Amino acid sequence: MVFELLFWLGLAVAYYFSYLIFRDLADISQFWLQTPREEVVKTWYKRKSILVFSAIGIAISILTHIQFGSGNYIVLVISAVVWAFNIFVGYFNPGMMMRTQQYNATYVSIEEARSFVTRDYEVMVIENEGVARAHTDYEMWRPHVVGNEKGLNGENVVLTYCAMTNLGLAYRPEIDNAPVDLKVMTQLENNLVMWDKNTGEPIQQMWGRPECSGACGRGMPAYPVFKMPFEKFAKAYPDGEVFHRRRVLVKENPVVAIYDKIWEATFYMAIHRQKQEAAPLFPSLRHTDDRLHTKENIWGFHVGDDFVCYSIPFVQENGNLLNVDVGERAIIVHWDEAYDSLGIWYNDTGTPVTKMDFFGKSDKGTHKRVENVMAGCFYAMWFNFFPQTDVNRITGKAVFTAAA
Amino acid sequence: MVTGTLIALRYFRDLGDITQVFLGVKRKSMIFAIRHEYKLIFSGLACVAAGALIDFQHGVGWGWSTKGFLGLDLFLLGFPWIWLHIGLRNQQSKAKFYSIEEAKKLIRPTESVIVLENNGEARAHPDYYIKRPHLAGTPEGLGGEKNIIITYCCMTHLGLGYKAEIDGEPQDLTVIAQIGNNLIMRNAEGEPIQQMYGTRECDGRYSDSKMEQWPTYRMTFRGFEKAFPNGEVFVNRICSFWQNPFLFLFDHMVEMAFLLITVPHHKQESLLFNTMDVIDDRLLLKEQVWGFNVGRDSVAYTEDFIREQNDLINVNVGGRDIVVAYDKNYESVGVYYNDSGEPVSNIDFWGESDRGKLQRVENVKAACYWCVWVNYFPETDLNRLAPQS
Repeated sequence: MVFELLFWLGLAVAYYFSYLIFRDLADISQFWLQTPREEVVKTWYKRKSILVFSAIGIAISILTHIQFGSGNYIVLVISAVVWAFNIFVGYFNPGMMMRTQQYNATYVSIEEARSFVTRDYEVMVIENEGVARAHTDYEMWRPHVVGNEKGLNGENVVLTYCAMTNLGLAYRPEIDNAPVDLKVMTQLENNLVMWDKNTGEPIQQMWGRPECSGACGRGMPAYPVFKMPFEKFAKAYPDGEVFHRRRVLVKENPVVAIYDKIWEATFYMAIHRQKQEAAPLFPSLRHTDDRLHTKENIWGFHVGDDFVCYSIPFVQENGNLLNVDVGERAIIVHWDEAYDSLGIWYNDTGTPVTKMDFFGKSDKGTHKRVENVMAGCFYAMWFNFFPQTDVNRITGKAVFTAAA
Repeated sequence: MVTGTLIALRYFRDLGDITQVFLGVKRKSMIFAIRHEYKLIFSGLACVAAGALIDFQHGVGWGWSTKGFLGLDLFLLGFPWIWLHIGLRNQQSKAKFYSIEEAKKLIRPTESVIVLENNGEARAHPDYYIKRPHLAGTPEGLGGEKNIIITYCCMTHLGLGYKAEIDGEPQDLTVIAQIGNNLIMRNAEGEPIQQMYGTRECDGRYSDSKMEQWPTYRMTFRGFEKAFPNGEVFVNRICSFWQNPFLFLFDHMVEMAFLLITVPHHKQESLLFNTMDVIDDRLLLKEQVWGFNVGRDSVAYTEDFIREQNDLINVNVGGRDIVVAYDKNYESVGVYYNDSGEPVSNIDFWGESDRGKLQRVENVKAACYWCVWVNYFPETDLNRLAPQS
């Protein structure tokens, strides 16, 4: 009787804890189950203990069944399969399907990249004193974090990417000079959550700071990212590098190759829906707004507590050049026709500019790119994380005050 | 058993469609297989069944060889049939169209859609949804005209409207193969029809017995909404698991196989199915062109080129004056016959020009990949400006 009880108790424990792992850490589980952020983070912190508890639970059931014939064989087999599924999908799969390449990304020349990037395809660019790297979104879908030991012209900068937000953000992977080893944890509110292997802390991509440090804590320093068509990148930076994700071949490792293909196809379907459909793929946004289409690509940034975002058609309709104040600092928003690229620049010259080029030269001097620009991000996600945002501001005033 | 396996292998190679990733196939051989699909299947099955029967009755096979061959042959014969006839089942007469209001939940405003229009009735087809069924239409037709359907090939990036009739005979079409990265359909008589030409294989490219093309153009979804507020939109979503679990899983598998092939095809310069007869380096392989012909004179334009000409080109093609224009308001390239005798200096999306209302050229292949266009129209001129000499 005691062992019978133990059998069922073991199963209950195994089910409960493995369910927690599946619900909170499996990423895809959020199609059906949305857990509050605090719960997810709690499960994350305690995931190892939860794993151990659930394993002990299933082990007790198996042992009592083998040794004392307790419980029911069919129930045990089904439970073991469900347990293994929950643990695999929740605990192991996110890291396996999104294998980051923070230290070992491969970059190829523009010439080589022509075989896998078409002429007009939009790339995400980071640049340091003329040395530039381009990344296509589809090469970034799986690794999510790329960089290498060499750095960007010696500068330790990595690009992080979230397809659900359509957002590539570059960071110096360090917080208070301590290195950050980025891995993928999950997504919350349709935005990537990474974690730092050195400290175990979750890091929301859009915030760039560890979860424990709270809303105003210190984070990884942002590094400017901008977008442009591949051919224009080749024109601006003929010696530029292009990120290429090496695929595992069937003959090298058939299991990984097939596993990768299945996820690749699943990603295609999910990303297509996220790009096309008005509703977010994961119904987990806390704030919504209809000043712009939910999936409009916007360039959002902030100076201090002042958040603003721009859409390309708006900038073009306003003569391709705007001098605006954001957080009491003068900012230039410029659509460059020669390079098909939207640039957002600090203007510390004290006077508005009337001419601007792609490389940051204006009639008033040279300018630096605003480092925290979220280039081409979906409006719904931008608004969700920064609901205080102003939209398409002209000289300090909001243009849209009511729903468009 | 060997004969059966050879027949099965041939069927698998010629009509396996995605098998062309690793198996080369010649047009002649494929055309034969299309015409004789069921003869191949049944003769293959008969040979294999006979071999298996002899083994099971008299025990003449070697070890597991019979079972092995049986399994292999059933796969070789079954896979292409299931892939083509269930996976790529078309919607020539049972497509479902949605209102713009409903479609707006599913399609981005800037997405390019393929449009067919008749008597003010218009239908938009987004690439993503039309790619698996390939054919879409309804029994009542479009704008009072029966048998107007869209045909689509995602390897060509081409949606083409047809009046699915040859010499007045309605054509019941099946999606059967692709070669040269363009769709081949088969009619009820078993004759192949190349999407690019619309003629039966037995009649040849220039035959007058053909399915007439219906003017087809592309525009943004928001442009479509503006032009045709009562327009319909083709949406083909996979049914839910609870409606039909088998179809849900099956369609997802086909969709995944499709995406694994077509997404890289769209993003890369290289060709996955390298079955082209003509390669022409005037443009990149995957550059999108608006190609059309008047008689045997064919021309292709890129959107960039049209935009550089201030969105308007007056040109002569096959002895007939043509206007090629880009309409900013509706974000659409249009190609029109100009029989006024004078060049036009302005024209709108509807064909209204300073020389009167002009008709759209019916055979425009809108935003088709250059490599496929030039493969089927190798004589093509590119971005022609001056009238032909």
